[in-house]
Formats: sequence, C-alpha cells, structure tokens
Amino acid sequence: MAKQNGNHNNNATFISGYGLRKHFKLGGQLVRALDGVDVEIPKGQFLGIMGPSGSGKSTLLYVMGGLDRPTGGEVIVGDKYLHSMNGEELARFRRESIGFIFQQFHLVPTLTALENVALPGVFAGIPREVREKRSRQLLNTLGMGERLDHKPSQLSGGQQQRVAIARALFNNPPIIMGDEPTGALDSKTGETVMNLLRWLATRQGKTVIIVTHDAGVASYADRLLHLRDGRIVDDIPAAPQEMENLHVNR
Amino acid sequence: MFSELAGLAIGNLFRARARLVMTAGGVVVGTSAVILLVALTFGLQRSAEAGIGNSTAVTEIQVYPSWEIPPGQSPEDLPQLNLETIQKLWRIPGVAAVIPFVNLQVGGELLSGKYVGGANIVGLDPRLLPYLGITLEQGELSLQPGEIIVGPFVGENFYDPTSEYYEPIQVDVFSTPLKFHVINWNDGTEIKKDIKVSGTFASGTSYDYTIFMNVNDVIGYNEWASGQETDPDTFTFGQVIVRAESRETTIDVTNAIKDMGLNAYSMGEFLEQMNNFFRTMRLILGGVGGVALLVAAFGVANTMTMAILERTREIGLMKAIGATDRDVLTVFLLESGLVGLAGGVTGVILSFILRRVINQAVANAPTGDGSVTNFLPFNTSQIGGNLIIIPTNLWVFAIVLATLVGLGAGLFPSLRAARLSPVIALKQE
Ligand SMILES: Nc1ncnc2c1ncn2[C@@H]1O[C@H](COP(=O)(O)OP(=O)(O)OP(=O)(O)O)[C@@H](O)[C@H]1O
Ligand SMILES: [Mg+2]
Repeated sequence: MAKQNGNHNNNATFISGYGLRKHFKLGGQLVRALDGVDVEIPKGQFLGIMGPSGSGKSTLLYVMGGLDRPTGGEVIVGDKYLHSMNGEELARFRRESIGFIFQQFHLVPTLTALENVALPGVFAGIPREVREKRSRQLLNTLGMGERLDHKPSQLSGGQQQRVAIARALFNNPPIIMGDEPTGALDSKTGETVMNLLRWLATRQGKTVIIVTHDAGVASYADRLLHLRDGRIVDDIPAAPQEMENLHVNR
Repeated sequence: MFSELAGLAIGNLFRARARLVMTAGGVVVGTSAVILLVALTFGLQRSAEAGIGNSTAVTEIQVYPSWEIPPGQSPEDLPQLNLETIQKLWRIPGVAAVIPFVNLQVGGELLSGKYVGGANIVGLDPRLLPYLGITLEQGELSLQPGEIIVGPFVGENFYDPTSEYYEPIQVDVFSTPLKFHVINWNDGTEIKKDIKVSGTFASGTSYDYTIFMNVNDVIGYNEWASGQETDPDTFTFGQVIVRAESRETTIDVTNAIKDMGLNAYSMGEFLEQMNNFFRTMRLILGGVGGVALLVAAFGVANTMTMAILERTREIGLMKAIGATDRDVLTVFLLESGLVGLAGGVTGVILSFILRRVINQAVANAPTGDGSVTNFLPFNTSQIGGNLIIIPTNLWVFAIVLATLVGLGAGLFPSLRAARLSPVIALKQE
C-alpha cells in the first residue's frame, strides 16, 4: 500500500520495513515505540517523518539506519537484510550506506572541522592524507572552506550542522538520515540546511530521510509519513519542488 | 587501520593533559618502586657475593669420603679417595682439575734457627698448582723436590719451644734458611733436611695455614716412617679438591660427586642458597612495589571510567558513523595502555636518576669507626657505590609491566564503552 503513495518516479523500492515493532519495558510497563510499521522507500526520495513527540519517529529512523534493532519485523536496504546482521555487519552497513545527521550535531569538540568530517574515514581505515583531501573537498563544496581548522565551539549552529552533513557524506553513502537536523537552528539557517539536503537528493540521487516537527521543513520533502503511537497514520506525497528556485547557500 | 585508531587514541590522551599527567604519575611512582626495590636486592646480592671472596673460591669443591653407609651396604662398598675415584672424578663433565692431597703421616715442622713453625703439610703434584686458585705473593709457582710453597700465616706463627710462654714470632720464611724436621713417633727417629721456600701466596683461600710440598717428598717421608712401599691398590688420599670449570657448572659437578657416594662441599652451593634467599627477597620487595603499581591501576581504571562517562555521546557518534565495537574497544584500550606505557617509561627514567643519587650518596658516605654506615646491613666499601643495580631486563620488564597494568586497568571500562548501545549513548545529555 505504501508503494503507490508518494513516489512520482516510481523507482524500485530501496529501503523497506515490514511489520516493524520496537518495544521497551519501562518499570514493568511495555512501551510500543513502533507498533507494526510497514514502509517502502524508493531510491532518491526525500522523505519526511512527522508526528507528535514520543510517536516513534526517531526509533523508526534508527531502526531503518541500522543503529538500533527492531523487536520484530524486517528491514531490507538494497539487498541487505538488516534484521539478520550481527553487530559487526551493522557497523559496516552504517559506515558504507548511511550518513547520520543529528539535532545536536554531535561534533567532537576537540577536533577541527576538517578532522570531524574525516572521522568516518578513521574507522574505514582510510589513510590520513586521503582523509584530509576528501574532507577539505567536502567542506569546500558546502561553503565551509574557510573554517577548516575551526573547532566546533568556534562555529555557528548552521556551520556546525554543515560540518556534520559533510561528515555524513564522507564515505559517500547512498542514504542520508537526519533526526531533526534543523531543530537547533533558527529558521534562516534551517533553510540553508534543508536546501542542502534537497540538493543532495535531487542532484546526487541520495535517499534522504528527515524526522521533523516543522511543517516548513517538511515542505522540502517528496513525501511525508505521519506517525502516532508507533503506527503510520498518514502517508502523503508532497507537492513537487520547484527545482529552479532551489538555491544552495554557500 | 590500527594506526588510524592509534592516532585517534593519542589525540584523545592529550585532551585532558592534567588528568593524563596525574594518572600516569601513579604509574610512574609504582614503576619506580618496583625497579628500585628489586634493584636494591641486586646491589645487596652483589655486595654479599663480594664478601665471599674471589671467584676461585666459588668453583672449588672439597671432596671427602662419606661416613654414612647406605642401607644394605658394608663400609667397604663406600668409595674411598683412591686412584680409581680420582680417575672417575676427572671424567665428570665440567671438571677443570682434580687435585688430590697426600697428607704427611708423620710429625713435621719447620725450623728457623731456634724457632719452630708448625702447619698443615700437604703433598701435591706440581702440575696441579695452577688449579689451586692461589695468588702468589712472592717467589714462583714451583714445587721441585725439596721445595715448598707456604700459606701467608705460616711465617707468622713460629714460636720459641724453650720459652715459658707461647708467643707467636714472625719469621721471614722467604729469606731465612729453613730446615724441615720429621719425627717418626713409632721409634723416635728423626730427619732434618734443608728446605727452600719457592713461593708464598696471598690470604683469602682455605690454605692460609698450609704448606704445599712435592707429592713425592711426602710419599717418601711416609714410606720412611712406615718402612713400607706405597701400594697403589690400597693407597688413599687425605683430601681431594675438585676445581669446576665455571661457577655455573659447580653445582652440577658437586651433585655428580655426591651421586658417586662421596661427600662434597662447595662455596657454589652456599652461593646457590644465598641466591635463593635473594630471589625470595626480590619477590617480596617486587611485590611491595607491585602494590604501588596496583594502586596506580585503580587510578587508571578510574580515569578511564570517567573519560568514558564524559564521552558517552561521542562513543554513540563513533558507532553511528561506522565504528565497530572492536574499534571502540581498541581506541580506549590503546588510551589506557598508552597511559601505562608513558608512566612506565617515565618511571624508568626516574629510577635511573634516583639510582645515580642514591649510589653517589652511598659512595660518598663516610666509613670507619662510629660512622653511620656501620649500621647498614652491608659493607659500603665493598659495594663501591653500587647499592642500586638496574639490569637491562629489569627496566624492560618494568615498562612491559606498566603497559600491561594500563591495559588491564582499562579493560573493563573499555569493554563497557564498546558494548554501549549507540542510540542510548547518543541520547545522553
Ligand atoms: N531506550 C528507551 N527506553 C525506553 N523507552 C524508550 C526508549 N527509547 C524510546 N523510548 C520510548 O519510545 C517512544 C518513542 O520514542 P522516540 O524517541 O522514537 O519518539 P520521537 O517520535 O522521536 O519523539 P520526539 O519527537 O520527542 O523526539 C517514546 O515513548 C519513548 O519514551
Ligand atoms: Mg526523536
């Protein structure tokens, strides 16, 4: 059913979740963070996930990104069956396939912008010179070329989030996932970040999945999922973006 | 891959420099304690060995016939110090020389004018002289018939037999003419012969009161006294000295001689016991130093636990961008191992500085009556400013130990970090 909704290009399904459940036991009480979610996402789609606080948005994102394991159900990304992977395989999957962006940026405070962006390369075993070259290139592309040696504390929120996006792009993953990436930014810088993500989906064919509270932010998406109490209550295609107006702030 | 993670770990270490210095400081103290306490036992051991005497004393084994008759055997079965036994002794591996002594079986003394000097008179094959382990003080190492080599105390213990009181009189045995006087107590006959001292030797051996004489001279006197020719089949030596090739073989040779059914005693055996004592002492003092290192280990564990608590979100982030559990474990273990290594290396440097200070203080300490060094359990002059001895393998071992302590202390915190759920870690405020 999700297949027909929200996908104008009708690409083959890239990410799919079937019967996803995630239960927590909290003081003897069972919390159903996900309670039977079915979802199919084609390649290159910009998907927004909305819903009230506690509805399971973050949980769904992390389960699809291989950062958390569902209590039940299946997650398939490309030809990979995440629910049957061990920890090592999941780490490798995250390294190769997913770029995460967080509301709180989660930059390492003692590392420079350049080093933060290059951090995924450390775990991928990429030599230092290669790491730095790619990191510099990404930061230049995102308009951060003058801030390479700045520590996160010396950067504005919008700049920090752009560093975080550059880091998410470091291993050139096909999927970018953001958990309220504009949540800590003012609306102006939030727009910059959203334009950037939109551009990644449109121009680079990345599949972008964004959790957000903000209807303005949601307007960048190709499709919106609405969650409530761990279930999808709405799945609607958004209006097609006016690509001509898209302007990446450098 | 490993070097990438190591780079990250080193970078992390320098984030909290003050904490690094304090944590490693504990390891520095612990490492120095282990090194210095163990090094002290090496110094004391060397001083004790210096007190034992020269190295020839160590390779000397004294062999006697056994007095104990093994059950089911008769006294005749016990090996005697006869020619057959001497040949067997020569064949023991590690033996440099077998030196049989033939005792003079009649009374013998030296006469210098009216003075008489007595001593233990021993007959020896001149060819074995170099193996005796004596250092000539005067003259030469020669034992032609009619020649003797005398111990250092022989000349100091002459006396006047006509005098009322016994009073030792010193005679220069080397330059005054001497006669050798032998008395056969069986029939009262006696011989007086001119005799020449060919050499005297330094004190410090077990022959200080001994006169060495050509073995044929001694056998001649014995035959004269007994009126019989020596029968090689029944002849026994009074004492046999076995010289081992080296200090290491001395114990083995001693045991081989005991296995033959003979009594054997060597300084090497005593040394072995002493070494055992120092080995025990080393373990105990090393253990005391180890306690200091153990305390330091808790410091490292504490620091690592704190670091991991502080960096929980960072651990979650590392996992989100593709770090495996093992990567996280490696980074944190490397950090704690490096703390141990840095502490160990600094501890070694500190130990070498303290060694210099202590040894110089000992070397410069006043000696003699009433000086404080008399109360020390060792002779400062024998140590010669070497109270603290740090062998290479001691400091290498200390560095390895400190690194292992760091790794061990970091193991549980690091495992905890590695097992953190990334989602929970990222939510941490
Ligand atoms: N580790 C956990 N232990 C217990 N309960 C949890 C845990 N993580 C999430 N939950 C619960 O699961 C439910 C869904 O959480 P989730 O974080 O997915 O919500 P969300 O939609 O992202 O909310 P928000 O908009 O506030 O971020 C909530 O009720 C939450 O309390
Ligand atoms: Mg959330």
